[in-house]
Amino acid sequence: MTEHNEESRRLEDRLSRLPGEIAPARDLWPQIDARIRAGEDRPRTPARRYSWRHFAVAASVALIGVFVAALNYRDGGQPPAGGTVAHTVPAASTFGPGHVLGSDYQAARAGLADDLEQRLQALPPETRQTVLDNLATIRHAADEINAALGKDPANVLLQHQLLAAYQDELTVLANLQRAMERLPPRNEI
Amino acid sequence: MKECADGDDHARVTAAIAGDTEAFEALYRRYAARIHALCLRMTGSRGAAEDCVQETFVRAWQNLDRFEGRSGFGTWLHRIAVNTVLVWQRSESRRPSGHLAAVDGESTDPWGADPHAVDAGLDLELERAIASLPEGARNVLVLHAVGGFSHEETAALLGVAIGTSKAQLHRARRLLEERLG
Repeated sequence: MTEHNEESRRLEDRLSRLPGEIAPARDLWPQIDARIRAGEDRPRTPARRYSWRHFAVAASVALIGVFVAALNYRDGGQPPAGGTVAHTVPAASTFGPGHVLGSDYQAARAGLADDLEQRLQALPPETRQTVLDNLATIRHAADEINAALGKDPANVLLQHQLLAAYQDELTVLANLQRAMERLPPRNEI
Repeated sequence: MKECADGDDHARVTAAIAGDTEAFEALYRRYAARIHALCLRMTGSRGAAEDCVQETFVRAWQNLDRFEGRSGFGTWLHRIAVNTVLVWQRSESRRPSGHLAAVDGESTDPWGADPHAVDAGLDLELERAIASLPEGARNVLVLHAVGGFSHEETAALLGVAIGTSKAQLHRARRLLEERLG
């Protein structure tokens, strides 16, 4: 116990001696200066402007997640009989020139979207509309973040958020595709 | 948090609100190292820390007219910095691990090849142990035990309950004691 107290005291002592200031390895002011001069009308931060969209994206992902879970539940959680997952989500996305997504990513996205388009026909109209509406919300959010990036291309957080939005979309598309493969053709329902 | 009271801040903020970028640069020069230390320890990445520092000051500039002076400018700036880092952490948690380091060409150890760190007499063993902590525990430790924020302030900054802040601090200390042997 005493030994433990001694250890704790030593740790406290070391923590208290850590410097509260560590200068960045390079002067960051020139970039900050350039960014604030570029926006002299002092616009509100883009993050605030589109923050509601993140909630919308989160809600859409959650809703589609519930939908996929419901399909799985209905299917008894069995693996697809004979079905194969035609596309997989790339492990990492990359930026191309001008923040255009890398070609691998675009190809995977286009493939999943085409495949989904056909499979969606197997769904009842209301369910299909719900899925499409929620995908549209995610895509709209990505478009908005992209537009904000156009005005503030150096904004690293916007870049991260754009990637996250695209990854959300791909994840949803891939999950939906897997779930659809478990569905019997519509004429069998 | 112990605020470094300085009437100059008030004058500089007032001038900056009127569009004086030199006054804002003076504020940057005064607080950059402090904000950078916080961001570096919370992100565990030199590149991300620099991005967050930059973003913090740009956001501060954009929102200067919202600074009401109820707290010190430094405290207000820390709040923006913590929010910026939390947004970064959320974005990062959704990306494949190691992606940022690969993009930045940075090693996974932010203290790895920094000659300044040794010159500055940093406790590198402790800094590395802090960087290895789970995010929640690390955030609380950095704000409370290193940054000097109270549990109430830490909880408010991180958007967690005070009890969570205390529990995470306990966890952080326990893990550090284990790792530092």
